[in-house]
Amino acid sequence: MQNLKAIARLYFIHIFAFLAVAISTYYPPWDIILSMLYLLVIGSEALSLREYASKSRYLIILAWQAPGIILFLLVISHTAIWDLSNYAFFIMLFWYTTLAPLLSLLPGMFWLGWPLYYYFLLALPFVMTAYHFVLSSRVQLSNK
Amino acid sequence: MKWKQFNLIIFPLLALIFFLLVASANRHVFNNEHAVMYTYLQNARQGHIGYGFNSYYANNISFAGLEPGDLILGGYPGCSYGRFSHAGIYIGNGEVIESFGDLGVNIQPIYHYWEYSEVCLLRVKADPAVKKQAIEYVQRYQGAMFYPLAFKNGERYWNCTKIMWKAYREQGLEFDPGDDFWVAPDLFYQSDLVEVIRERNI
Repeated sequence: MQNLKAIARLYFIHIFAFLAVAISTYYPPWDIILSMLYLLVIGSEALSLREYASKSRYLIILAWQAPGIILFLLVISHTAIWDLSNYAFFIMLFWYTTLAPLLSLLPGMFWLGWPLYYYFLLALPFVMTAYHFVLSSRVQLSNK
Repeated sequence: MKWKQFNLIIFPLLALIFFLLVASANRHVFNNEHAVMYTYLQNARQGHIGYGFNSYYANNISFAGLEPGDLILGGYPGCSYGRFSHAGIYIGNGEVIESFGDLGVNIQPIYHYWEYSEVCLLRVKADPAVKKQAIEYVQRYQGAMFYPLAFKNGERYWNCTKIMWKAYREQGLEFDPGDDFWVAPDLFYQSDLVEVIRERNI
């Protein structure tokens, strides 16, 4: 129950942050400020999980980033069924709207035929997993 | 207020504040029954979502006689935002510059427009020098980010029509006199600022 509550909180924050950031792109640079606020809020949610068992933390992080990971797999597998690969990237752009303002600050460079933001967007499920994982991990201080 | 409550409240509150700000500054868009968002919603109700049924339709339209600065529109059946779903600006040498999901603002061979079931070539009624400046404007943003809901404000997010609209607007040609949030590709087709060179419908 505790795990479900933590997952529900992350989804609730993510969905409303998506709306807020998407609308705030009308008033740049407010979108950048909201995107950074999103990182802070997610960070504070991660910190609150420090007392949770490792297994619970893994489950919460995985459940939270599952849509991003599934979309990542659809994009890199070039799934041809129903044009899913193409749509998956579009949906991924929507799903990570919360961080799109930060991606939009990247220089307009191409590498191996793709713009920089393409690679950073595909990396986001793993970057956010790592971000949450590091902040929710208990720091072990040794007294040697 | 405890931070746990703050985390849950802050984004719904910000979403509401920004929505009210955008809505109050754009009442004319909400009152316009032809606004892109209403077209999208009407088509979505009929089951048309996104850019429609992507396939290779081999329209084989001729690109002969195209001049730099001409516009190309393409569409698939079942597109939710009108007859056309995609747009690009011809830059010469068989190349078109456009904005697309995973490629951002980028240059492509014009022949990829053969894949659409609907295709149209448009000539902008403007001096070649104006068209050249419009092309130069678009080229400055190569590699910039594509975002489907890119509002007209700002120059960090682009979709296929915003980049073309902005490029010509900077030269004094306004393709969206209704001042909508977004510019649908069909708006270029309907504009008095262009003439149809040729079109095909498969």
